[in-house]
Parts: sequence; C-alpha cells; structure tokens
Amino acid sequence: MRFMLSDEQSAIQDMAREVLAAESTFDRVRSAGEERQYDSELWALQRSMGWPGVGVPQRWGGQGLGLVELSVIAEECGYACSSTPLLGTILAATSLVSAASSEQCERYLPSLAAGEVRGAVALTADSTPVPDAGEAGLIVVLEGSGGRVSLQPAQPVETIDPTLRYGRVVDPSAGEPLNQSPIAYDSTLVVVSAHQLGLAQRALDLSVAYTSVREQFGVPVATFQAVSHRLAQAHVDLTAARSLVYHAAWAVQVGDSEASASAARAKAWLAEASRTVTGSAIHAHGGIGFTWEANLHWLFKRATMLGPYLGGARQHRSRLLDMLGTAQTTSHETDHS
Amino acid sequence: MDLTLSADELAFRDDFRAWIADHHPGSPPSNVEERYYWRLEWLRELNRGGFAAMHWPSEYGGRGATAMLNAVFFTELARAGAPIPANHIATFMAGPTIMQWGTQEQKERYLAPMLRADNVWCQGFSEPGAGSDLAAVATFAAREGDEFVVNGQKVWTSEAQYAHFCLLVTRTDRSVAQHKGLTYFILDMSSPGITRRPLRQLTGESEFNELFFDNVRIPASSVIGEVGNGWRVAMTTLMHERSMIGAGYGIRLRNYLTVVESHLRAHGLLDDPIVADRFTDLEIRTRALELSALRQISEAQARGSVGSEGSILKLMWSDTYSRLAEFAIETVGPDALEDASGWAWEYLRSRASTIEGGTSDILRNIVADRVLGLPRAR
Ligand SMILES: Cc1cc2nc3c(=O)[nH]c(=O)nc-3n(C[C@H](O)[C@H](O)[C@H](O)COP(=O)(O)OP(=O)(O)OC[C@H]3O[C@@H](n4cnc5c(N)ncnc54)[C@H](O)[C@@H]3O)c2cc1C
Repeated sequence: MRFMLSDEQSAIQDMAREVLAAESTFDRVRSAGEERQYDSELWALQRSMGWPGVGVPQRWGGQGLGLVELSVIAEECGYACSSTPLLGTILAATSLVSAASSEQCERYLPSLAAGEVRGAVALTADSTPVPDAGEAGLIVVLEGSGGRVSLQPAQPVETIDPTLRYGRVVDPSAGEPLNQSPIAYDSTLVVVSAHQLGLAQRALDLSVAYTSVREQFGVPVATFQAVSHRLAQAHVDLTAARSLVYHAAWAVQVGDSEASASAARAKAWLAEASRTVTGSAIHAHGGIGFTWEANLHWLFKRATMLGPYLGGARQHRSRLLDMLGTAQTTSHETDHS
Repeated sequence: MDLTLSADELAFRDDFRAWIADHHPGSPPSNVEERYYWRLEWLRELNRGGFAAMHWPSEYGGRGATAMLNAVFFTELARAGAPIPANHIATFMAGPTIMQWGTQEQKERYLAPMLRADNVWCQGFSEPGAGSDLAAVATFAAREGDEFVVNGQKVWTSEAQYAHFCLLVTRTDRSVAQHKGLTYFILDMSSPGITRRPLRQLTGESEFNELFFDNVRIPASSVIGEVGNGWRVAMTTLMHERSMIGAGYGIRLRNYLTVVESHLRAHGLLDDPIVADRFTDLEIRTRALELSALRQISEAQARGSVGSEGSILKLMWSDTYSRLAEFAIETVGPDALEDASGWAWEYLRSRASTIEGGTSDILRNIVADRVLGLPRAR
C-alpha cells in the first residue's frame, strides 16, 4: 500500500501550482470578480495546456489521466481560486466519460476536452446555483445514477461569488438521456471536494504567513495560542480532508467497493471544513481580513457556494448512512455463508 | 497511489488472521489487574507466533516489518476483537528508544526479554511539578563514582505496579538550561528505596501510580544515550508513543463505532434524523483517522523518518473518541450510565484521552511550531 501521490502526480501538482501562482494571482482573480467575467487569458492558457481534457481519454482528444490527477488539478485551481470555466468543464467531461454512450462521447467530448465548449454539471432535484453553468454550452443534469446531457442554456444567477458564472437549469428534462452510471456522480463529488480542499489550504497558508509577521503587543500574533491553535486545528481538519479526498479519488478511479461511500464522506467533510477554514482565516487576519483587498473573501465565498452544490453535508451523510447499512447487511450475509 | 495491500501485506494479513482465529484470547476479565495479566499473556502468545513486535528488526526478535505491516497488524487485531497486547511501553516505546540510543550491551540485555514479557516496563516522565513542561523535571540523580543516587518523585506512572523496569528521566545538572541538564536511565524497579503507590482514577480503577525515590542507586551503565542528553532521548520515546496511540488506538476506534452502530440499529435509533446525522459524522471522522494513519505511514516510509505527524493522529483520535463516547451516552439512554455498564466505562475512560501522551493543547503547540512553522512564544 502506498497512500501518497506518485512522482508523476506530484510533478503535475508542482507544475500546476507554479503556473497558477504566476498566471492566476489574486489581482487577476479580483479583476475577474469585479468585472464579472472569466479571466480569458488564463482560460486560453489552461486550454493550451490541455487541462479541460485531463480526464478525457486520448481517442476523444484528452490526456486520458485518472481521477487522482484530475483531483490534483482541481485542488490547485481551488488553491489559486482561479476564475475560469475549468471546474464546470472538467465536471461535465468526467461525468460524460462514465455515463455517455460512445456515440455521445464522440459528439461531445472532443470539444469539451479542447475547451471549445464549456460545461457544467447540475443535479435535477436541486435549485442550488451551479458553478460555470451561467455561460456553459453543455450541461449534464444528473438524476439518481442516470442523467441527461443538454445544450439548452441555463438561467444565469449572480451570486456572492462573482469569480465564477453560476446558473440554474431551466428545464431538467431537456436533452438526451445518458446511461446509468453511479461513477458519474461519485467522480463529480470528488473533483468538487478536491477544489474545496485547495480553497481551504490556501486560506490556511495565507493565515500562517500573515500571523507570523503581523505584530501586536510587541510580538507576532501567531505566538498567541488563541491564534496558533485555531490554525493548528485547521491543519488537523485539512489532514482529514486530504485523506478523505484522495482516498475517494483513488477508490472511484479503481472501482473499489468503498467508492461511493468514500466520495460521500469527502463531499460531506469538505462542504463544512472548507467553509469553516476559509472563514476562520478571515478572523485570523483581523480587520484586514474583512476588506475587499485582502482576497480571503474570494476563497470564503467560493467555499460557501460549493458547500451545498451537488448535495451538502447533511445530504451526503444521509446517503452514506444508507450505504453503510447496505454494506453491513452484505457482510453479515457473507459471514454466514 | 495504490491503496490495495501489496502481495506481502496480503500474505501477512491472511497468515495473521488465520493465526488469531486459532489463538484468540477470548473476552477480557473485568478486574483491572486480571485484565492486565490477561493482556500480558496475550503478548507471550503473540511472541510464540512471532507477532509480538513486528516492527522490530529481526536481530532483536522482530520481523523488520514496515510501519504499514504494523498497521495491518493493528487492523487485524481490531477486526478480530483481540486486545492490544500489554507491555506496549516496552515494545513500542522502550524498545525503539533503546535501539536508537542504547549501547550494544543494553540492546542485548533488555530487548529480547521484552517480547517474552519476562519484563514489564513503565514510563517515569511526569512529576507533580513537570507534566506538560517535561523539561522542568526535578527528580535528581547525583553522580557517585560509577553510580547515580536518585531522589525525587514521579506521578501518573501507568503500569508501575507490574513493572520490572522504568524509563526514568532525571535532572543531573542544575547549572545548565533546563532541557540540557536531563539524563535518561533504565531503572531496575527492584532497587532498594523505591515506593510505589497506586492512584485511583475517576473510573475507580488504578492503572497509574506515584513513585517515590529515596537514595535509589542506579549504575552508570544504565544511562541511555549519554549524561545530559536525556531530553533528546525522551523526545524519541514520546514520538513513538504518539504514533502508536494515533495509529494503534486510532485503528481500534472502528470497533467502538461498530458497537455503537449495532446498538442504534437494533433499537431503531437511527430513524431519528438528528441521531443519524451525528452518527454518520462520527463515522466520517473515524474513517478519516484510519486513512490519515495510512497516509502518514506512507509518507514517513518514503521520507525514511518518523516526524511530528503522530501528534496530528493523536489529536484526531482523542477528539473522535471523546465525541463518540459522549454521543453513545446521550443516545443509548439512562441505562448507559449504570455503574457496571461498558458504555459508562468507555465514557469515563475517554476523558483521559486528551491528557495522556501529551495533552491536546501541547499537541496543538507542536503542530503550530513544527508542522506549520509558526513563531513560538515560550
Ligand atoms: C491515564 C493517564 C496515564 C498516564 N500515564 C503516564 C505514564 O505512564 N508516564 C508518565 O510519565 N506520564 C503519564 N501520564 C501523565 C501525562 O503525560 C500528563 O498528565 C500530561 O503530560 C499533562 O501533564 P499534567 O498532568 O501535569 O498537566 P499540566 O501540564 O499541569 O496541564 C494542565 C492543563 O494546562 C494545559 N497546559 C499546560 N501547559 C500548556 C501550554 N504550554 N499551553 C497550553 N496549555 C497548557 C494542559 O493542556 C492542561 O489542560 C498519564 C496521564 C493519564 C491521564
């Protein structure tokens, strides 16, 4: 057993972090948010690097990498809080890879993988604003383990997070049906959770840096335990988060029997932890933290928006409980046989 | 990233699983002392099977197993409902400390008998005036020729009532900075001048004791890792202690969770959406702890050293354990609080978890200082 990124996966992470540190600075995020427009230069760069197609098989124009690699990219985009339609597009592509017929794949995946068409994924039974749906050309609407793919535009919604274009599906019954595939939903949960992990990790890293240099009472504020223990606890919660997210990514990728449970755990945990940690970071910065310029709010707002998206914490805990019940019955049966 | 067991790990798991099925010690005696000896007998049995200290190098009677194989060991113990063997202070703390800092002679003398459970070990670190602030240890060891003469007191010394040897941290020099004047000894508990007194815990049982030293003589050959180097040797012991609690006990939390779950299901209590939601949150915390233990083992193995991560696991363990115990008491109902109930015992025992092996506050200090690299106040 080896529960850590491989050298190749770490290299992808380093490369993504480096590119985004240079090309998705908070100045860029802020101006995208203020103009309520995606950072088109960054999107062009992400397309040129093949990111929208990271998880799409090569025969449909992608890079054919797995859910772990996709999670790494999603986490780094969260870390940078980058303002591009990448999240929605990789979610749509990923769910089509598992739920679309080969004819549908042929039709939709190459343009998604190239980033020519932007995507989004919504749940039928849900009116939560869908990230990247506001300007998406293709929307996958998941329902149970099935769903539909639709080209009908969504109704744009202005939310507290202006760095992404959110929208609501107008007619969930529009479009063509997809095959049954629980993996489609599980994969999207993992990718969103990974993105939330990145948001929270950035907020913690910023807080560590700031409280180490900000002085009050003649000393760095991080020397006060009320401050350092808050950050230490955030680190513990994100340790749990990282374990849950990457276990889920692996489990869904290999089709492990725990895959759906693991994806539900990751989403339930991150829906809360991501908001708590980003919110806590605002507090740890004091008055500066509450300003528009401090940039923490971009992380906090996106974390808040993504919390209920594709089901919030309580919903996934409830799903998980049903799965645990089933698993228990099954294992009793095998014990007796 | 590969979370399946390797061929070696699988082979070991199957082997050990089959072995436990044939050698299971049954259910625990309720008396605390009988329970201790029952767990000590379990260590002997494991040793006969070659499973007593998997992680020790083979030259000392272990299997040279990876930390991952050790995690498989704990998982299988938990799965079978078999106890963690007694004398863990020897196998998980004293043994690795002596391997790292001891002389060849000390290794030959002390290590093998630990596994046979010929010797029981205890940890004499804490004192009335030195708990979280271990460097404030006042028990003094004065050099006299090739001996040291020890006077002072230790407290909260678990299992000292059974122990043959004690890992003893003392002050040998009052003229230097606190943590530079410490020396670490192996103390033979049959030496004249030692008084042991059991301390009654809030569970009503006595696991820990106080120890008094009145001119106790220790040969200089019993120093571990040089006079004045006691602080660093003690840190080695504590790092192993926290990793063991985090991974070993952490993996076991699943059993408690399963007991709670069975009760809730049997009584239809999960139909209450609030109970169901809280239970599932605890399940996620438990799984996160198990997975974090595996992830940290992988990372430590790749790095080739144990770091401060044990502190993170211990924090997760004590937090989840306390929450689970509180939840159980609340949901099981009034019967849970009857004196002899297992629920009550777990609930009361869980209160120690945030104190023993370094309090949660101290562990958060460690995470802040050594993991996050924040500036320190003290
Ligand atoms: C069941 C059990 C078994 C034990 N077994 C052993 C054993 O075998 N051998 C052994 O040597 N010891 C043992 N201990 C002792 C244990 O290691 C100490 O109790 C622990 O280190 C705390 O020390 P203390 O009790 O003196 O509390 P104190 O250090 O006095 O702490 C009191 C409170 O102050 C807080 N505090 C202290 N310093 C700080 C700080 N710098 N920042 C923030 N908060 C702080 C603590 O977190 C705690 O809440 C055992 C304890 C228990 C409960």
